Amino acid sequence: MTVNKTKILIIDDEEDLCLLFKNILKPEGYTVFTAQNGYDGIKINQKRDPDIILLDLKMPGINGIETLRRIRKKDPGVIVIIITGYGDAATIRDAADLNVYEYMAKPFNNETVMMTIKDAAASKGKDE
Amino acid sequence: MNNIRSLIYVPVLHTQKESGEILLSLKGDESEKPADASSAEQEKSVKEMWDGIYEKIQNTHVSYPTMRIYQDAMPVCGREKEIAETLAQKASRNHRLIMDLLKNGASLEGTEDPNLLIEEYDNLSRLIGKAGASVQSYRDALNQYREKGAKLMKQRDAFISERIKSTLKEGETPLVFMGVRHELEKLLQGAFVINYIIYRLPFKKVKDIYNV
Repeated sequence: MTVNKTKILIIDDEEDLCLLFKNILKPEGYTVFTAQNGYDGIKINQKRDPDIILLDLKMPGINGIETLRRIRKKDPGVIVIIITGYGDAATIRDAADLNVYEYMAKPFNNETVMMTIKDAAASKGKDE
Repeated sequence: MNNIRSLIYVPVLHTQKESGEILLSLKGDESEKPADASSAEQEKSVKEMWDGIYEKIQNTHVSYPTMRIYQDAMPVCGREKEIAETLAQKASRNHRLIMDLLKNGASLEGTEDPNLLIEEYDNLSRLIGKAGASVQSYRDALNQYREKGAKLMKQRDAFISERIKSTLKEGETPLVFMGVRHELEKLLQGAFVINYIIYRLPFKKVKDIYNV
């Protein structure tokens, strides 16, 4: 297993997707936390202090952009990658204003997501 | 019956080099070179973004001869295809894709008011001129660029919206490539059903977001 200190929080209401990410990230040595909605995501972010958040936009309760707004108030530096099947020009502008690392559309290519996560971790100096 | 037409909207990001080249093309000065702070990593992400967009455009199944392309920073000037060709040769992925679509039968429409683009060029030039300055000085210049750019963007978007509505022909589908800072969709919503094509937007790789 790769030595890796990066902690990743996945906030997505699709359980299958959270499981998929766990299955591909854990063997790479990442520590993975998951939340199925924005409220839980905010709490876990405060408690676990992840390096990277993979964030869905369309979720029950508060949506991804509102979740990110609340996270940014207390954690301006966490790297956020949006992975979503939903998107329009206004949401993309919001994401840019909230300083996201990358905005990716579903369905996605696992390899592209992994590369993006590795690049993001490296930019924080925590990869391998 | 009043049919609302469908419009394909592609939010895009350009690197500093691409933005500079696009705006320099307005002046027709081949000797001038834009500032280039692009890295190989940045180029790779941008290439992937455009490859993914092309694949998604093909999957829309809109027939190319009915596709009319509207492009961020493409002036209404009568030599739109020539500009796209020149920029494609200078390695703009955006314009290479346009050339591919044109070869397949799509049409390219002049999209922006040239005078507003010249103002945009001057605004961006002032920012790029500060690229080698201190971080604080560059940040100040970036804030000034954004402030002036926001006003200019409203005027540009109003022109583009009217341009699309007045040039689109019966039976055609507009394919609109717009930088992510545009708010054009607000002006099109009543007249079109907007379908977005998004593959990936590598914000941090591209670094600063320009209005082109």
